[in-house]
Amino acid sequence: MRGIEVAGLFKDIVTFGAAGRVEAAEKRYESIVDEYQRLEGRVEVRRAEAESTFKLLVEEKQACVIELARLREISRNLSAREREFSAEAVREQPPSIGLARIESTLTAADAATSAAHGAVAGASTAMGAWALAGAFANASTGAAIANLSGAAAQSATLAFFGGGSLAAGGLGVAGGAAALSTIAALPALAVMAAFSHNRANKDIARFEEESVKIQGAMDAYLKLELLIQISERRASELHRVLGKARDAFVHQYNATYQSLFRWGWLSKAWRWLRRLFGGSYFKVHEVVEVQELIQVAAAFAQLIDQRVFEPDGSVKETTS
Amino acid sequence: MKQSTAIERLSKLKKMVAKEDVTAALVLVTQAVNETARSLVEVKRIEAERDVALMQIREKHDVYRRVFDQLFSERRDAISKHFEIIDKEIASNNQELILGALQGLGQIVAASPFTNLKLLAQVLEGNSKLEI
Repeated sequence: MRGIEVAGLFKDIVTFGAAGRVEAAEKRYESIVDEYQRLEGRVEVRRAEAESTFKLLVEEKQACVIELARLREISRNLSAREREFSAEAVREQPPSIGLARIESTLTAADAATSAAHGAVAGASTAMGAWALAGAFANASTGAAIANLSGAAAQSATLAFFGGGSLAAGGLGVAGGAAALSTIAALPALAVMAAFSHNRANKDIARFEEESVKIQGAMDAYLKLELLIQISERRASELHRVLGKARDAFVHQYNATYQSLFRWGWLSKAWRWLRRLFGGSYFKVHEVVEVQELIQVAAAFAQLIDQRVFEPDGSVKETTS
Repeated sequence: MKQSTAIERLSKLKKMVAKEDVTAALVLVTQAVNETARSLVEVKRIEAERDVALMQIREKHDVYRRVFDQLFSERRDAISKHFEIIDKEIASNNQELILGALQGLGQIVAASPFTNLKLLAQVLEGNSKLEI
């Protein structure tokens, strides 16, 4: 240790203090690189945490869709006239509008499930694209579904997960990485060679220049960290809300189902026979009950449709 | 005895080194000292600018974090109030209020927090566009 100090002192004397200045600049630079690398590590941890939360949200949405799909068991028995019937007690739009909304949600989820080749809950799968970014929401034809599926796969579903376009392109982290590799190539002996102040100034200027680049990259990484945190918290919020909404819907569904089919399959058989002989499957007051359930289901579907990202994996000021 | 030896040695050296060389060396040393001082001032200026920029970056992101902590905290409180209504009305089987609470939740989560990010970025970063 003392030997190093003596050597440093000797270099300072020989170079009129230039070597010491270069060393000091290098140390300052290294401290910024250290901070940058710590930040980089922290962002990776956040990304992993966010992915866990996203996975939970995907699973929750899948569970919600399964519950919502149960509505079809009741709604398929509504006649065309009953679908357009706007009961005063409900004071809202006819059930056809709510049913269209619900079907749109269920169709998008079905398309995602088909594209995922099974109900995989991973965040970077087609299911993830649907649950987090609302992909497949406008898929009304087979061709459109196929295209969307391809597009989702092409962009690795969400640019976010790979840290791809968000991190590399938009945020300029690549520039920071390049800065790191450039400076790493600087031979340590270069400092030893700085026997003149001109040379020292050049070296110091390079350190400062690289420091500025890393500073820019740090700003970009801090933005990325913020975006990950907001996305994670938004996903967590949606997960929480959907859990409760599912409870509410299941409660309402069970209550209505119990009221309509009090005697189980016997109730269904009786209604079927009634329709066979020209009667309606549901009585008027039961249609109102079904309409109320459809309203709850439509509100539930609206919550299921909320997304964290835009369909292309980016984040914008509005996500709904 | 010792003093006389030193004077003798200096006298010998004086004969070996030319006066002009000594002057030139002094000029070089002076130039080097001046150059060092000038460079030091310049480096200190760059360092100070960099430190200020770094501090501004850290503070800006600290403000972002604090604002979003507050924002999500408010959203959580509002959501919890709707949860209370849902729990209560599930117990009393009040469909109308359950629906109202679900629609209320829909309004809360439909408001994207990224909207706030954009607004905040405009305030903190002037006209510069936040690339997200």
